[in-house]
Amino acid sequence: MSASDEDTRLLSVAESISEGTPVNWNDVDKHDDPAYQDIVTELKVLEGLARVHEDSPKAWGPFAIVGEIARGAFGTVYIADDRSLNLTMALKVIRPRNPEVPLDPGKALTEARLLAKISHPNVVRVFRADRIGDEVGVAMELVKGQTLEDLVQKQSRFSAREATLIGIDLCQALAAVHRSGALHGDIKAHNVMRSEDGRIVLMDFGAGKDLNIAPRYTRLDFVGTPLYMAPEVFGGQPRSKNTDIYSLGVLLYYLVSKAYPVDGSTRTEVERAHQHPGQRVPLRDVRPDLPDEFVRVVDRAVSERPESRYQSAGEFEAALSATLLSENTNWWKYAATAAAVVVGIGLAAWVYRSPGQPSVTAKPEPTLATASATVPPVADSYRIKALLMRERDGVEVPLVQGARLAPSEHLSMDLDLSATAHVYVVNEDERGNSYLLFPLPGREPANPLPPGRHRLPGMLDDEKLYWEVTTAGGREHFMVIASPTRSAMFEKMFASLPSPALNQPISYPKLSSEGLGALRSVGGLAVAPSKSREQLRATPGFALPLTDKEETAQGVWIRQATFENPD
Amino acid sequence: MAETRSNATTSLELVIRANAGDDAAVAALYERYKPRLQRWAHNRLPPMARGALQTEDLAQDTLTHVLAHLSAFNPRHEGAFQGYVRTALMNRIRDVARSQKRRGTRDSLDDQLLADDASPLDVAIGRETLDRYDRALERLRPEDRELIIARIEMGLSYEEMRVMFERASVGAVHMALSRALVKLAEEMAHERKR
Repeated sequence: MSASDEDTRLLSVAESISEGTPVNWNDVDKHDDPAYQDIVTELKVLEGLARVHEDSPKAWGPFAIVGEIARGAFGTVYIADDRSLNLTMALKVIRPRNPEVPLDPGKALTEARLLAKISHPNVVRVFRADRIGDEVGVAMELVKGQTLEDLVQKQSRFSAREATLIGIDLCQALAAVHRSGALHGDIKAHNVMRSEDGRIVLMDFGAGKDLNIAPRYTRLDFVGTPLYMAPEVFGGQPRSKNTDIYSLGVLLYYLVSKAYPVDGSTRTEVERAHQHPGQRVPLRDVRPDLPDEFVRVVDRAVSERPESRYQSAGEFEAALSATLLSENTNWWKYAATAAAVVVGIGLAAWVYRSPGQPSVTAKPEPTLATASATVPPVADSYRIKALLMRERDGVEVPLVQGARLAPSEHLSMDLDLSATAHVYVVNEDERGNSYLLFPLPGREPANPLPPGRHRLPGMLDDEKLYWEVTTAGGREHFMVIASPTRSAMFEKMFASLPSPALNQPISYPKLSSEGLGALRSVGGLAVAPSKSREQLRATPGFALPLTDKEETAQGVWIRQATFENPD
Repeated sequence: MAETRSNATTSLELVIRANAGDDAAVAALYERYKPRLQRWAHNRLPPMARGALQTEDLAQDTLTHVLAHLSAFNPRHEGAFQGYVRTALMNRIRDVARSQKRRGTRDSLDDQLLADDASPLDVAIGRETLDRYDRALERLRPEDRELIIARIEMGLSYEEMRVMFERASVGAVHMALSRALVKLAEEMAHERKR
């Protein structure tokens, strides 16, 4: 190639860069002259820099771009409409910008498709991945909410209990990622969201690093967050399941302390600190007030030596769950008691027929189907919103947790479902009496309830039915259960409970201990681990309160509400 | 990059008229440079600084200040005014970033800085590369430098650049810009070896 040809080719590349049109690097890359090649390398840098300054595209493949969420070293995350499905998604477009950081579009595409196979409520849902030229687009669930980093900054440190429950969710998320054959590679507070309905979601809006994990030590490994990186990664080891567990441990450490076990102001400082064990700060030194069990679990997760850490996300999760039963955690005593009370005690209500009152209800709200039309559904998931209501002067108004009830109060439930579900409502009082409030034998509506809005317990002719509080004393606990499929176990369990009959007093049986155990195993998790873990895992589920927010559920959904019912 | 509009009057002419007391010229300079500076600043401003002060405010404040003290500006080459206001804005950005850093929070770390200091450009191509780019830019002839910034960082159309740099045709702008980019790549390669 003559010098003139070289100039022409370089000028042509420069022209493409300034025009914003694709450069065919294959035409200019093959050259033996190092000086020429150096210029080509820098022109690649300039192309990446020019792209940063470009406006957001109007479209990418089948997606219409409607906004921008974030830009990173590997691309941009957009808010995008899938025009064929009429859904709004997050679209991560991975594009090479810096020749010093290798990016293999084929590999990125393969790994994105791997993640698309993961269906877990705590992992952001990947719907599809496409490649256009050197760019890879990954369409994901658009999660609305705040990152844990936002929450730490705005709300201060988390309690051990909050961090534990988040950690359990993230361990499950990580287990799902690892089962798929993928790694996350960049777990940090910025990459975990608490959605508006309270769901903890592991994601990466940092633009693509998780989708293109370098198999070797490169500068790429430092684009992330060294404060969360395991020491062996600094030493040149590749990322692994174990380094993900380390990062999750650092995240929990950070949530409760706003500090890091190995700190530094620069990447170099962090790396040096890892080389001097004395600079590793045990969690106990930062938060001496935390429960011993929790501190031990987190400190083990962030152990310097990989073999000292938990060897799987499941093992980490079991250890976190065990802390919930620690005698030193007073909050758990309350939660365990509440769970036992919920399923073990009785009901003080019967069905009350509204005496010719006008059919006045609370202000109608849009159904879930219309209200959430822009939120892509998780596979096999459904949305549910359940509000316990009290009748006041002919108007049904929402009951808030902890409200005081009184005998002769009339209660009902406003239920909104996005999919068919089997629903059970159980009430218990503090004397241990249980009662099945819904479904009522021989009355409509009955299970399964179709998608849409329902008022429970239903109507009798043209009149509303209510549950009536008939006795006083202590607290009233309500448990609301929804399941997308009919559960023989639930049917059997609740068959032993009486249902209220119209204007008749009730008896007060107790839910059997066998039923209690079964319910716990269902309420906790979909997977069936060891017996001891079943119980451990079940209990946090019981502690989740019924809120007035719409939630996205997968499998069995259980919530509880407690009200004061003083003598 | 779409062609947008034509500027019949060069910035140099507007500066001269503005210095002579022509308020319309001041207004024209303001309208012309505000969107350019905002676009440029968007990718140069660290997120934590953006949190404290919107990019729009920063660019607007800087431009207002420059136009109020226009007599201090002595144009020496085509595109000089662009370089003048850009330098003023860069200084302002550094001031804001420094003050924010003193009370800011941290995320990821880079070799030289806390990530909250990182602008979108830092994140996209790395601080080290961006520094090399900036140093190489400074080694170019002022007009070449402003050509590149006008097109790449501020998104000016070729027609706007033709007027701004007083070239005979859009084709001449294309050629000048391409040569400037290749020259910049050469300088960056030299910087890498230093």
